[in-house]
Amino acid sequence: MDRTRGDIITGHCFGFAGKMIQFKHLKFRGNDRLGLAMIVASLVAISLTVATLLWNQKQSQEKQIRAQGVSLTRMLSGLPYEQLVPSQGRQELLSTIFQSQHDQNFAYAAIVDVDNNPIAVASAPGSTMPLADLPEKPGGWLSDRMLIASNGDTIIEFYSPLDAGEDKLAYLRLGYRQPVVGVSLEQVPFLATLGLIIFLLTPLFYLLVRKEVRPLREANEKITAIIESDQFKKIDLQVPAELTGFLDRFTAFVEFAKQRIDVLEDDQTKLVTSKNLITYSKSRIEAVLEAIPESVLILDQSGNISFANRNLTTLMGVSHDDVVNRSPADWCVNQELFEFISRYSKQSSASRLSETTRLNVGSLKPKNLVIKAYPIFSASDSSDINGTLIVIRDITKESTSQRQQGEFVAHVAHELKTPLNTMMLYTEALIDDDQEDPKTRIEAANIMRDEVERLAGLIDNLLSITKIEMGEISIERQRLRLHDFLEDTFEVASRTEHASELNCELDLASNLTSIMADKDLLRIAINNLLTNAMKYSRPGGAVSLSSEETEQSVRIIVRDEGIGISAEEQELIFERFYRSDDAKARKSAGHGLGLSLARDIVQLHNGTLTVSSKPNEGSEFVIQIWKETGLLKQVV
Amino acid sequence: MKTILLVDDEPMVLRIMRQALEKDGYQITTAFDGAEALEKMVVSQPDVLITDIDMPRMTGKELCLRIQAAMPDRCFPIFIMTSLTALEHRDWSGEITNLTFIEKPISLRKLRGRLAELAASPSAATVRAAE
Repeated sequence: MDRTRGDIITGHCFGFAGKMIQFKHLKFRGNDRLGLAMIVASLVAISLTVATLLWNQKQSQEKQIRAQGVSLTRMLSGLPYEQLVPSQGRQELLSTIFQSQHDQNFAYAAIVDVDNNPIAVASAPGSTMPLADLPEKPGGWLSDRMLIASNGDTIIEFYSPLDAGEDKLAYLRLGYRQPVVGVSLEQVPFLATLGLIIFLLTPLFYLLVRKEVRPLREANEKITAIIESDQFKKIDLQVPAELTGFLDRFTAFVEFAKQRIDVLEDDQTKLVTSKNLITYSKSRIEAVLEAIPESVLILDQSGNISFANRNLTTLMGVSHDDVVNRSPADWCVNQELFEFISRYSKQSSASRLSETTRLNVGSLKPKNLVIKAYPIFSASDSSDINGTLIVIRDITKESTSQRQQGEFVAHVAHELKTPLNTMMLYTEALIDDDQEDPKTRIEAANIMRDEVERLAGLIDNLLSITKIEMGEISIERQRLRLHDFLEDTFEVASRTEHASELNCELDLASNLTSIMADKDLLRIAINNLLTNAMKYSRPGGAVSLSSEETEQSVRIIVRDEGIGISAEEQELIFERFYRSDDAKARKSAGHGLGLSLARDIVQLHNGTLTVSSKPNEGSEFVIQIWKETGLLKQVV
Repeated sequence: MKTILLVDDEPMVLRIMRQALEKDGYQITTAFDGAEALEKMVVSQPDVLITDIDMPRMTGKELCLRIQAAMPDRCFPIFIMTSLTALEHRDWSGEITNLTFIEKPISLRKLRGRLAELAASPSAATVRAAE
């Protein structure tokens, strides 16, 4: 019955707290099942009552046996030994005592000697005295013990030492069977009456409780219906007076719970909305920080990294998970960078100022970094710092470019001043030549002319290179009859001073194809190759310009029998301002731009310029330019 | 008679300078680069060294540094011919004593004047060189 009441009340409370619990399965159980439970309960109650009664009866019997045994043993052990043992013409005392006992549990009474041999025994039919050792020295006046007889009975035995005279000792042993739990025939009517009473009382009790609980049941059903309809309203019920207060309070509780749920739902909606807004704002800010070209780190107040963009992880060569939510000590291997970041890990005065530093990091691939730290102040309180924004800019390329620019300018200055220097020296020599030696004057004039040419060539090449570098040069492709073009270019080159002592050869196929190329630029490239070949040739050596044509390309070949180029230098010669360390090469005046420009021009035509050479045997420079068919094939 | 060691990789420069300075009575030894200059210095002890900077095998800068390392107590002056006038191109020269930069294009007249001065009063020339 209590369980039923509990179901109803628990069902209510839980329903309001969670609101999502379904109440259908908490409906009142069927009466049939409850009636059956009542019968089972009354049977259990009857069984328990009877068992308790019988147990008490057994306990009482056992207590009685013990009292009786102790008093009888005490009495018998006080009698003279001669009275206890049987003698002629006198009835045995033990048998007499035994017969006078009307206790059905009495099993035996015996006098035994020290070796446990019976001197006198009186026993109930079917009972035997179990064999059991007696103590060698009597431990006390009276003792008892539990023994198991040969027929399986449990015996409570009382024993006592006896003075048998002549310094002999004997023992008195009294045994009772331990009472067992059982129902005797005369007890049956009493027990049956008791069971009937209990059996009748149980349903009566059930009906009474059920009558009392009915208002609660009705309230439960009504409240369940209200909850299932999901419309809270005042619970209006006809209930006994003692339940009115409870119901009023319960209705107030429902009202309170309803208001509380409304407030919580409202709060929940606001919370979800603001969370979505924050997530949206955060992802937008992160997208902006990811998009900027610098590496960005954000330290929180405790000095841990709360954000790092992809540029930073790439720059540092670490993964995103290695950095975010970690301390800089976990991933920053550069000591100087670590020290800089660490200054902003603490709430010190240093962390309140913006700061910029420059670092060179890395040994294999050195990088120049500019690192700026900006404290992030709280929007509401400018004295409160929320963290630090660290922006790292990799200026390695800019630095390299600036350095290269500086080197280029220095090279240009050097190359311009070298011919000027020679001219200056010879001019002064001419002025100071008071002997007016014609030979000296002619030599000086020739040298000065060569140096002017060298200077002009250098300036032309410089201008062309600058234009190519700045992307200002535009190729004006036109159909070029290659045979005529090469012939003209060769003619001009072979008329120069360099060619005078050389054997210049032109070897072109008469039916050489036409190509689409920028005439002026290609002329500069081929002229640079021819001039080079002539400059580094020995007197009497051969310089040739030839061509080869295939289906897809044309090859223009400039060959000489000059000093040649070592294998190590063959790639270096195309670098700007590269001058060979070879003293023989140094004897010719060069400025280190001709080959570099030639390669740039050929590459503008999507062609290649290659060299093969052996020192002291000569060199071969090959320009390969694709014909339209070849270009098309390359694209496909 | 003073001995001058002239070092330059431009043969025309060597030729005209040799002609001019020999007329002034100097004994001239020439070398094409720093490495050759070092070899020549072992044979003939020059009173003056005039060298270019940009040369193959061994540059004028390296030549000066080697001489300074080998002969810290050297007395003879060194004239070094350079196209680059900015101080940043001379920052290596601080530890080298008695070194004078002369800018290209070289004025033979000025150089000859400086050498004549040096022959007359070595200390005065040294002071000027130090400037």
